[in-house]
Amino acid sequence: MSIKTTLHLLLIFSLGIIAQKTAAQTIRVEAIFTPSSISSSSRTVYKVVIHGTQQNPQGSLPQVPGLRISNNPQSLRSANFINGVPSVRVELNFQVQPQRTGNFTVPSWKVMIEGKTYQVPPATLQVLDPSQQEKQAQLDLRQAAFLKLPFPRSYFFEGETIMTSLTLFIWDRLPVNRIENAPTKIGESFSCNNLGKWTEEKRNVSRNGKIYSTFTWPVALTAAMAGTKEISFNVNLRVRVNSRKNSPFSSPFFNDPFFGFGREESLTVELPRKSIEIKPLPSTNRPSDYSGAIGNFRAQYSVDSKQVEVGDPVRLNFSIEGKGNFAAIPAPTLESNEEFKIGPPAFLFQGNEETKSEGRQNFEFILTPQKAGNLKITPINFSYFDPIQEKYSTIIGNEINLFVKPGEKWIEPPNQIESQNSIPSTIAMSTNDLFQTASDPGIWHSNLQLEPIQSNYWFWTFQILPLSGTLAFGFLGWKRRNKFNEDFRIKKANLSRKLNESADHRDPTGFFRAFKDLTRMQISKKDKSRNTFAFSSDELISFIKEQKFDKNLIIEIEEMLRLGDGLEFAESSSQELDFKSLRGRASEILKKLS
Amino acid sequence: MRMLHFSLTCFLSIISVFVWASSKEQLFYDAVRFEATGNINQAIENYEKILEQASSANLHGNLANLYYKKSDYGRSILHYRKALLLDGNNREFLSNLSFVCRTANLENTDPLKNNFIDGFSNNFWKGFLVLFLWFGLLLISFLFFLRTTNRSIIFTCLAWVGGITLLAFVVFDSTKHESLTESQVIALLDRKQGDKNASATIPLRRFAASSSTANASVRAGESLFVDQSQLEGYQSHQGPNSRNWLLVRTADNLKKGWVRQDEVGWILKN
Repeated sequence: MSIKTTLHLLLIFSLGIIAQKTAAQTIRVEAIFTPSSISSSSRTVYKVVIHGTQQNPQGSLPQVPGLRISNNPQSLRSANFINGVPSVRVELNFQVQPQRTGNFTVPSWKVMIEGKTYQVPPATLQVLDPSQQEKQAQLDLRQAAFLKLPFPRSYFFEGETIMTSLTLFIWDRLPVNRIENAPTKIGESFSCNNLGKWTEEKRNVSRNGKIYSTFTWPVALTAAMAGTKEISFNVNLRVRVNSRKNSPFSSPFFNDPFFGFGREESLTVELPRKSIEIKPLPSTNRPSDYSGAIGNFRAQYSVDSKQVEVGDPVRLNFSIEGKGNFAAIPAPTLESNEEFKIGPPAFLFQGNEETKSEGRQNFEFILTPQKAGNLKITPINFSYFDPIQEKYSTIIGNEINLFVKPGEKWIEPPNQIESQNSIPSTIAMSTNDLFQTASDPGIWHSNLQLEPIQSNYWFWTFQILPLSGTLAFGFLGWKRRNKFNEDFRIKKANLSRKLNESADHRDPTGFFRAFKDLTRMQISKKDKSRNTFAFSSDELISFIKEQKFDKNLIIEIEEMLRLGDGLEFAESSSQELDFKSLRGRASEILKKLS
Repeated sequence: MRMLHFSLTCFLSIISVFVWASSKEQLFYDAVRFEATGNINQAIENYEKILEQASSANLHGNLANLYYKKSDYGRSILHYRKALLLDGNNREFLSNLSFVCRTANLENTDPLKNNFIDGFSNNFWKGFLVLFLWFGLLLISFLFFLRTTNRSIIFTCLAWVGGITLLAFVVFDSTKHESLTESQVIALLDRKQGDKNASATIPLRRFAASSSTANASVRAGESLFVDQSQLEGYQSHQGPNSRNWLLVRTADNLKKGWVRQDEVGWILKN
């Protein structure tokens, strides 16, 4: 017997003994928390151990207020020899997270194992306050990076632009690789300027006993609607962490998360929501020309030349200087009249283009005087609301006088030149002033030369319509005409056959009827507008006479028709008729008619 | 409240549209402003910059006014002609052009504008011809379909062929006229010379070389026609110093000679 066979036999023998012994083993149930005492920010495991079996127990775990116990236990089976005695057991591990501090007891509960009911003993867990170190760690995490947005006043007015700054504080221990994006505004109650790269960066700023680097963005907020409104900002930082287990952002507890060369994670830093009261603009004493300016302004109004000629453009400059919502200030309204042609204004802002809250806003109008004389330019008044004094103010503009000289006049050219010139004299004579500058460009053209019509796609496409119409009419007409001719030919052939047969059988009635019908057919070609098939013999003869046929032919036709009518209606004798010669005459007549 | 927010956003957008108007319009308004401040050279420069992108009747009109103020009558006439191409019925342009021609002692401004056909564009006549062609064909086919007498169909056909022939002649004449307009240029003085010597003339040289003697000369602002090449395009020559020369003649064919390309301005080209 080999050693291998001996070992197999021993194993079978041992298992047989274990099975025999375990069958005889009693089932015992234990329940404990490991660890049994934790801080409120930690987790623990509720462990149920069943000795003496490896079968899964069945039962319902009771809920304990203040503890969150997972429903999916981890089960573990084991078999051991202890001092030569075999032992088996099943272990169930439930994850537990405390929701508050205090002592919690999972009461005794029942489990069913191998068809019998067993009691699970109660187990107690003690949840303590976080330790000083843990508290510090949580505080550090909150203070690692944060945003600050100070407001200059406790309330604002609707439409007012507030100039402030948003500062991001980053603790020097936080291993930030980069700021992922510019801060983003949260909330629709305010409109905000575009925040690009920070404008100010400071190092070694001390705050909360920590050293920070700060990044500041100028922010111009415009309150869009009245009421108590909230605003917040967030910004994403790219932070290097050791591992997921130690990530400070997935777990509130961490030991030393800010060191190491692990992977990167995105950390969102959010400004706690700030509430601010937005008041509506007062409606009392509001000037009629008020157009939404809020701030503190000074206005200037000037022209760059006070003496010009008719048609020469003059620049009118209206500028507003100060602090306020420049982005929402429209240009004053100046309309063309009999004296001036006024072009659209040009907007020129001197100051921070991003925030547009402080600087100088110029509105430039081009005025073209239309007539000579001492003309007065209508003064421009500017009204605004002062949010500090909380009242409306109006800056009244001064009247500007502009002396306009007549300039060059059209002189009628001598007749000799005029006659050689291609320009009509009426046009030249009716024009008074020359060389006036147009203040707007008019319609733009990409090319002076017109594109040839044949290179246009639609030119050819539209021709499909008449082409289709022509083809359709042509085809239908051809079909229609062919049918008419065919019918005509068949009818003629039938009548000719009938004429011959009647002559052969000496049937005068049939003969003359066939002749009459053939005559009608031949004549119908002459005038399609008349239905010759309905004509009586007399009508037929008079019609033939109208058509200017040869007189002898008309006489012959008349004779034949009278002869036929006589035979048919007057019952004349047909005995002496020579059908052979009659057939010859009929053929001759029909030949001449065709 | 949402509406208020929306209106505010729209309002701000409209303002931004005004502020960031397209560059050519901005250049135009700037040019008008430069003119208003007396900076004529800068205004001309702005207008010329716009011409690289697009043109408009008012733009050419303003530019012509400025050239007139600088006594550069050739360029003034050239730009009035361009302005009239885009807005043919503008009385101001017509009067100004006539005035400039008179000042420059020029008698005839547009030698081609003499007949009724010019009142309508070549495209109009081509379109009219096609319309007539199809109308006739449709009418004839319709009469054929109605089985009217052969005589009326033949009569219609004859009238139609007559009309087509007449219109084809008009189109041919209009195309020829258009081709002549394409080849039309205006004699220009050197830019530096423009405002200093208004009476200076442009020589029409015997050969395409600066040293060549002149056959004749023309005044700035006169209309000339570039000769068509027997192969394709215009009679041109490139000199050793990369200067392009064009063979031109006057409308009455009395003067003919070579000019540098910068001594003339094309009416139909920017």
